[in-house]
Amino acid sequence: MALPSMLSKVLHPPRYVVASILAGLGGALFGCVKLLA
Amino acid sequence: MSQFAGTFGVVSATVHGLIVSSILITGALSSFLAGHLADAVGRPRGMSIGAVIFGCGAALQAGSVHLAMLFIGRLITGAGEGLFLSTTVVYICEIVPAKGRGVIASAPQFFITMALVVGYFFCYGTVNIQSSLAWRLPFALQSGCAFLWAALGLFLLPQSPRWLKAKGRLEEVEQAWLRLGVAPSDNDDDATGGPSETEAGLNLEPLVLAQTTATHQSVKEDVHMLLRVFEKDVRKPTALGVFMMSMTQLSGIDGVLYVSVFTTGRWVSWTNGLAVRASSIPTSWFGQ
Repeated sequence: MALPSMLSKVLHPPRYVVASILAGLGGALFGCVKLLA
Repeated sequence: MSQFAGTFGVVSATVHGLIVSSILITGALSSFLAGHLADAVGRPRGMSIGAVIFGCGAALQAGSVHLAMLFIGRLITGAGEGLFLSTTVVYICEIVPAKGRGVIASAPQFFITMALVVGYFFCYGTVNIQSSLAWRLPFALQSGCAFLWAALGLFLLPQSPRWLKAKGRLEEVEQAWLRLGVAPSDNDDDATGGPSETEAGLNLEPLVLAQTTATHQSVKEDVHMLLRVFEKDVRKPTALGVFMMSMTQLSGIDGVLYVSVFTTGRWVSWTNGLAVRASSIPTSWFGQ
């Protein structure tokens, strides 16, 4: 994949990727729980 | 931490262990209900409800004036965590096309380890606060993050097209895929009416649909669904899943994280967090 095309994909990710990252942030809460044990 | 001991006194190893593990007890129990909740109200709402419960528990811990209050706060936090964590992975797997599912489904694990690193640095700073704010502040931040995430999830995350289909809301399915930016050519499976198959060729249609309708059916059918994972056609994936989860836990990474704080001191404990983060990158890569 050409660099500009790859860069474009990173800068403009599909909405399902954004939604997945937002949902995945829930994992961060669990990470905090492990730490604060 | 002397500030913690100043509030609650020095606790025995048994009580300490009980407080630490209490979160997992309710987490394990509530995770059994997570699927039913997410089936009934939808994935984003299911996650948000879990996060709100989690936030309430964390707030209770932040404001603890007695050890029992801290303990109950952790029990509530665990209940919330069990509700949202498993639904998060289900939701991601449902909205991402098969070609990128492996990488993106590892997002929760990425953020778990990322939060460990950030958390170690955060506590490295707060431990210098002389008052009880030293241990209250991380809990308060955790609570704030949970409520923020619950709100964002509730208002920004679109419904899962597969959940909509299972609920019979077929007219909304196409719209949901469009909202997610998934082209019909990428939309590989059951949500548009085709057979529900994984890349391994497993037909998951009966399992998926039965799971989503089981909420209103008898306990007997629930048990049948639970035992479905041991049936011949899905026995291999079940065995692989059990093997991977068992090996992950038996490798003792949680033990390393818990014990390192006491045995190696603060400096090494947060560098340990960095090592955990670094080690997860090749793991995610090879996993895909």
